[in-house]
Amino acid sequence: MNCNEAISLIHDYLDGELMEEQTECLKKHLQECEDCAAVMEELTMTESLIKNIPIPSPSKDLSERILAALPKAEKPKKAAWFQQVRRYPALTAAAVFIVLMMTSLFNLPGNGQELVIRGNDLDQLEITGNHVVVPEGSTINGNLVIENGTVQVDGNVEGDVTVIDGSLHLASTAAISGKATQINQWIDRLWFKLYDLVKKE
Amino acid sequence: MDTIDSRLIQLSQDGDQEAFAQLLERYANQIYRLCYRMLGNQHEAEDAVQETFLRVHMNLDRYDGNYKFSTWIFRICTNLCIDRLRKRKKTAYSLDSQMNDEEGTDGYAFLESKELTPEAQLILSESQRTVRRLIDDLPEKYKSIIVLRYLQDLSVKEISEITGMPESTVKTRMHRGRELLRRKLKIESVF
Repeated sequence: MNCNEAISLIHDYLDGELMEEQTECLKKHLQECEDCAAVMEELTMTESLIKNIPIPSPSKDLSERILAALPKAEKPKKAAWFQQVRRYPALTAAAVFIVLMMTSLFNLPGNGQELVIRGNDLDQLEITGNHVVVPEGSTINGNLVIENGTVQVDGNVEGDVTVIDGSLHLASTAAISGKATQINQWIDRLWFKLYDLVKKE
Repeated sequence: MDTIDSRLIQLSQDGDQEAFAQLLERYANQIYRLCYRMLGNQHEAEDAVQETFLRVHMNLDRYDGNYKFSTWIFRICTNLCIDRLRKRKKTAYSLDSQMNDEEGTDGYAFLESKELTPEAQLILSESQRTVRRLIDDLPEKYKSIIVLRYLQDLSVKEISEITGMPESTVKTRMHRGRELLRRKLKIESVF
């Protein structure tokens, strides 16, 4: 081992990174080489000098000052709420969906007492108050949807007739090419609304 | 020890100031020692400690649980001290120039006020004073590594994680820094 190698090993040794085997080699060299032994001695002294320079104690109120300078807790609270949202995205989506469904349910146009009619050829209908009549001899092309009303069909409908929250009377002369349906329960109405929505999309 | 840290961090992240105060209590002293040795005076060191904890507090959300908390806070602190040293170099200040933060205070007044601080009450041996001066004058790239190694008693691996430098670079700088100090101490006939 030459002295350059030895010096490098001395540093590794001081880093605490020297293998046992190499430590033995270094020891041997240091016993034989006065110069390297002196360097080792000086570096060890350097280390202990660095470690032992006193450091004045910090001001007693340092911690207090730091805590006082921190921004107040408002923001973290908000962040905590937001973290819940971020932590459970699926749950959040489900909650939002339910809230939206509930509100739309209570805001359904048919939920009031107002008569609502949808379909084509509406001019052929006879409407008195909440009573809707498809007159004999007339033909409605397409589906007919009536909410909050009683319906009497005497003529022809080339499509489905759906009555929501009302009643349907079919005369002997009535001809409905599609289905005639009555929906009164809110859950049915909900499904119908959803189905309708999807179909429109 | 690490589980206590991670628990305290979690609570702090949820806005628990008490938990953050405990984190501060656990690390304030180590951070202060690091800052003091890097910056060389109490006033600036305390400023840097405050800034370190402020940054930790601000960035709690970004703390990566894969690292030890100590690694993270030492990294923030070391970078901050290095920044300050670089800024100081740019605006090399003279005792006659007025400081901008306090009205009419110049460098001489600052020296006088030092008499009252614990800093001035330290009794240093001749050789301790020399070592202190030599560390203060050490180029910052060696200084941060020497300080982490000898004041925080950290391994090469930990220093590499803190500084983001490869272990080989940490070793090279440590060897050179140590060698530089040894030669200067010899020139100043400390040994």
